[in-house]
Amino acid sequence: MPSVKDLAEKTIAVTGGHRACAGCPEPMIARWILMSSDRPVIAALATGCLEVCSTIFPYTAWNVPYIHVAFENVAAVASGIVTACKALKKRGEYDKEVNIVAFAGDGGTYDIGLQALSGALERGHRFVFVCMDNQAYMNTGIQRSGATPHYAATTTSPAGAQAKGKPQKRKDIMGIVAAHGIPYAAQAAPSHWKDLLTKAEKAFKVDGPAFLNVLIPCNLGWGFEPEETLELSRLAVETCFWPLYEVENGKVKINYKPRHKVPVVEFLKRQRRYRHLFEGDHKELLEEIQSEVDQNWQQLLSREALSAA
Amino acid sequence: MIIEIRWHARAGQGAKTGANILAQAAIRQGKYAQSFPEFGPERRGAPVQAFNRISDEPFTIHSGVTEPDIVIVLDPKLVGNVPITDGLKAGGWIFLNAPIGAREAQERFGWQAFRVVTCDASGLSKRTLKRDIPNVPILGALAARAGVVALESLQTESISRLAKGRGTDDPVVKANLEALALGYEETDFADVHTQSLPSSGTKPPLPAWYELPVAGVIDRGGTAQVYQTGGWRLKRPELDLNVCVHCLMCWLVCPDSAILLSGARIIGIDYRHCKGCGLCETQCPPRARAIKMVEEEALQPAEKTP
Ligand SMILES: Cc1ncc(C[n+]2csc(CCOP(=O)(O)OP(=O)(O)O)c2C)c(N)n1
Ligand code: SF4
Ligand code: SF4
Repeated sequence: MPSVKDLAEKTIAVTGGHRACAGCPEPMIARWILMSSDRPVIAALATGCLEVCSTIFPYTAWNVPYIHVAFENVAAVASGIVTACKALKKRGEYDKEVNIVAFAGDGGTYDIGLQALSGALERGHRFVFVCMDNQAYMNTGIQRSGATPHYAATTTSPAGAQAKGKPQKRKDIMGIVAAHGIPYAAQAAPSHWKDLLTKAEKAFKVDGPAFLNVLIPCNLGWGFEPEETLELSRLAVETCFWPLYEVENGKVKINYKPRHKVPVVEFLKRQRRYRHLFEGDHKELLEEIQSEVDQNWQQLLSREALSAA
Repeated sequence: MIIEIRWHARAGQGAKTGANILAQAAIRQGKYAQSFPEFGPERRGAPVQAFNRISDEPFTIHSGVTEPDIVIVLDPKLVGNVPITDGLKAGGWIFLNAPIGAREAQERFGWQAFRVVTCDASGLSKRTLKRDIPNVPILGALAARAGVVALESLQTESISRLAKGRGTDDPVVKANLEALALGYEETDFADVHTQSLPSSGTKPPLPAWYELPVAGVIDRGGTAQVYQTGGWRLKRPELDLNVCVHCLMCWLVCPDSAILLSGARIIGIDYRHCKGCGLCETQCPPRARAIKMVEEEALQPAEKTP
């Protein structure tokens, strides 16, 4: 992993002048990921916050070639770019070694983009797919997605007298992706930037599809102050709500194990999307969330142990 | 004659509602009127605009207002950060929500070619509505000075909006009417001082459709940098280079690429793009504490980068 000073020598691949919310980590993470590539990059952007904020015609915040893609098919378009580069090379019309990266929100990954993603993973194209997981459809006004966690309130899974936020749990996208048997899948968070950069570097090096699921604490949709973004990310990791781990050629490795697991309420109570759980007595719901977190963590530990065996 | 109005505010300050109340009040007086906000992908803290057209005769134009007769500024922190006087006609009106005199505003911002009205709409709103919603008092000020609509129409409109299901002696209705009346009474006015318009920075002309690249291709990277997001800022990071240890953590995390480097050393902050999120301050190590977030001063012309 390069040091921060080494990174400072690289060109800024995502410039200022984009219109993401103040404090949104998406542009920063996109910049980090592009800096981790050892080759020039071509990016494909599914409709989502990152894309709508950074590519408003005639402006672009990207300093690399990118293509605007619809909400549902970024993995298909990325596959097309990979294949086009190959075909052009065969014809002797292109000789560059490039990395292709696709960025999508959780809606464009877990939900509407899933079949394009699954197809691309199964075909085995050499590209990196990054899910900017802010846990809802944010740029269209905070609607629930397959990534929205249990009991979080969104505009389409509201909290009130009848409902307590989203009644369902979130999908295990890492499990779904890893089940395709791809060489590399990893989960990361911006508070642990060294881990994130290492994972991005690895993802660009593998020969085949790689997947990064990055947590995006979204001050607008989760309800917290912009300067708390990295603190929320840290809490998500320290509570094991968002474990940092990777699945490399089928082997599970947890990259960070908190010495003292912080109770998940410490993470929940900082966000307005969970406010309803702290008004009145909802001890049993909070306990339910804690036990889900514990269960997932235990499962991960045993998968890791199995891999090591 | 159509009177055209442009509102400058931040999301949540009520520019859209204010413009709507104004149009409805004008319609109550038998006039023809429009009100509409400008929608973009802009996010929290971003400056927003809303527009009005008001006329005694029917009209068919539906585009955004580019040459207003009146500009209403709900957030004084926007002055210097967004083009307030762009297209404003000589002798046009500026209504500014700020606790300062009109002459002072005129001199500070070079608004001598315009009629300036100041009104401490935020203060009045906090006093009556117990919240900072400056749109109501500023409408009172508008009726008092520019007379686009009568105070009575604004009152009738406010009552019909708010009194649904409550009586006119409801405390919320009363507080709104009081805010409106105070805005009507407590304004300061400065007349035109000079006929010459301030130079409004040269905007490059927009290309014609046939000059646009096929398929909307943007042929250069990083063009977003000409778009300034500094006006989103409510707090400003202040950097003390004497204590900075050049760890580059602020540079690493700044989502707006607004920390300026020379080699591997920090040299300053690009206030044209910094949105004031405060993340740089949180990452500055305790041994340095070189970045402090301070309240963005209102009514300061935007600073340009070194
Ligand atoms: C087929 C289709 N349906 C709906 C939309 C509208 N739309 C654009 S982006 C989006 C949600 C994106 O959510 P997500 O992928 O989670 O990204 P985020 O905005 O949270 O970054 C929706 C519903 C669309 N563009 N295409
Ligand atoms: S809505 Fe959330 S994810 Fe989207 S730009 Fe704003 S903070 Fe970022
Ligand atoms: S406050 Fe700091 S981190 Fe946030 S945009 Fe400004 S310079 Fe960047």
